[in-house]
Amino acid sequence: MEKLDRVKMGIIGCGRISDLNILGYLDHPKCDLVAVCDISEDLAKARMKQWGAKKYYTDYNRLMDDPEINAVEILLPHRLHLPAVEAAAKAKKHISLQKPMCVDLWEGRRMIEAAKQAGVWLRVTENFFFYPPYRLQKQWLDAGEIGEPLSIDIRLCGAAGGWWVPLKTWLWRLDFEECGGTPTVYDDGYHKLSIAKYFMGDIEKVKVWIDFTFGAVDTPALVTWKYKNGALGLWEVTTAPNLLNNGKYYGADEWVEVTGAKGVLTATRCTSRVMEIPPLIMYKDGQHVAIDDIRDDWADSFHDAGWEFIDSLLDGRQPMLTGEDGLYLMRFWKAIWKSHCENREVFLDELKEEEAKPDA
Amino acid sequence: MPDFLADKAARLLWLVGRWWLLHCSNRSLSLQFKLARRLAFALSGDEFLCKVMGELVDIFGEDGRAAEIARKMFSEADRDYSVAIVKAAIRED
Repeated sequence: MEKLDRVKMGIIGCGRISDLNILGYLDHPKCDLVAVCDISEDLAKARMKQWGAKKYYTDYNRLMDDPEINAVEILLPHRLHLPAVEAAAKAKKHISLQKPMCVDLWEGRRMIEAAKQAGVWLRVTENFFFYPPYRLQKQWLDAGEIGEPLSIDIRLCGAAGGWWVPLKTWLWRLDFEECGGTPTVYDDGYHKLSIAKYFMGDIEKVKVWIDFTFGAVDTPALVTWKYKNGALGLWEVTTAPNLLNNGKYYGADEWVEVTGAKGVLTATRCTSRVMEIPPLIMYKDGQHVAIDDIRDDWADSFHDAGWEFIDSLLDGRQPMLTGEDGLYLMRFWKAIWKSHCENREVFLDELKEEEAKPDA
Repeated sequence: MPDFLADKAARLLWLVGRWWLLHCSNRSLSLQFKLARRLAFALSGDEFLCKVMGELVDIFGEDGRAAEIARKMFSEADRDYSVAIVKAAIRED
């Protein structure tokens, strides 16, 4: 695919999370923010002024028709991902799509085909993948610092506090049909599943236990899985209503620990900073190595994700986190949900046939 | 506020609030939140509180899926867990 001289972005969807997704596009020297789009005209106008865009739209089809734009960032509710991606591909815009990729697996397959046929790049944005302590953790894992990885233990703790998210935004996420899954294990979980796959490889099977709070929020939960290489994974989801989280973003924080044959590697934060301890700690050979001098704000991961997309388009290469990667993580989620519904171990390969388009 | 008092207040608030939300129609709730927003603004001037109430006015006023989910959450909420949240809000901790 040809290299771009400059990337001229259109942002589709100007809600809460766009505050962070925009960061990399605003300060990249070879990226121009051409237009923003939101169904709310007031919000679109406000974002245009705030970010210094040239124009705004309230209909993404109009934005797709804008010949000045050559790439789009899609930040829409999950049900709208497929039509927006197909419209972008048809208009020959390169696509960065916010996670989770799709609601049904066949939708993801259709997105990949649409981008391929149109000759545009498609990437499914997942910011945790770009969080600097996780990047270093992965580098050390690959370098064999703790030996062969044996298990990964991910912890998510939801708490009181965090930034304001409109109630309506929370409520559509609690609507299984509208959201495409559950708010924690599917929507937020995509980040954790992404790290699980990124760090340790392909997953063979999953087994889960999920409880519901308030009849709609899937917490507490335990998700376990086995990798094809024999290693094990565990993700523990808890919500602590009396635990105050003074983080700048969501009232949640993560802990990711990998145990290897000769050591342990622990990332102690991501979305916020519940523990005032170094963001990355390694134990091996009887010694602790703590990394303090690393960018560790959650926003850094969004910034770097934006830069990676722009740099890829300038270099004419596939951005990291392909459509296939996105679809794999959706299969991981579907296996988790199937395991919850059928109370059994589910192999990811069982889900492959769901990628076929349903009959009309 | 002492812990035992916050606990009692939270239990009472949760019981009354839940009963009220589940026994009023969406339209009635919307109107009541509208009135409460005006009162809250006049008495406290707290913009955040008014913003939250404004959203509740819209959610119940639209009488749609969002209101249905909000009702489902209140009807299925675990009592002890909900009381803990209300208590945390009362004590601002």
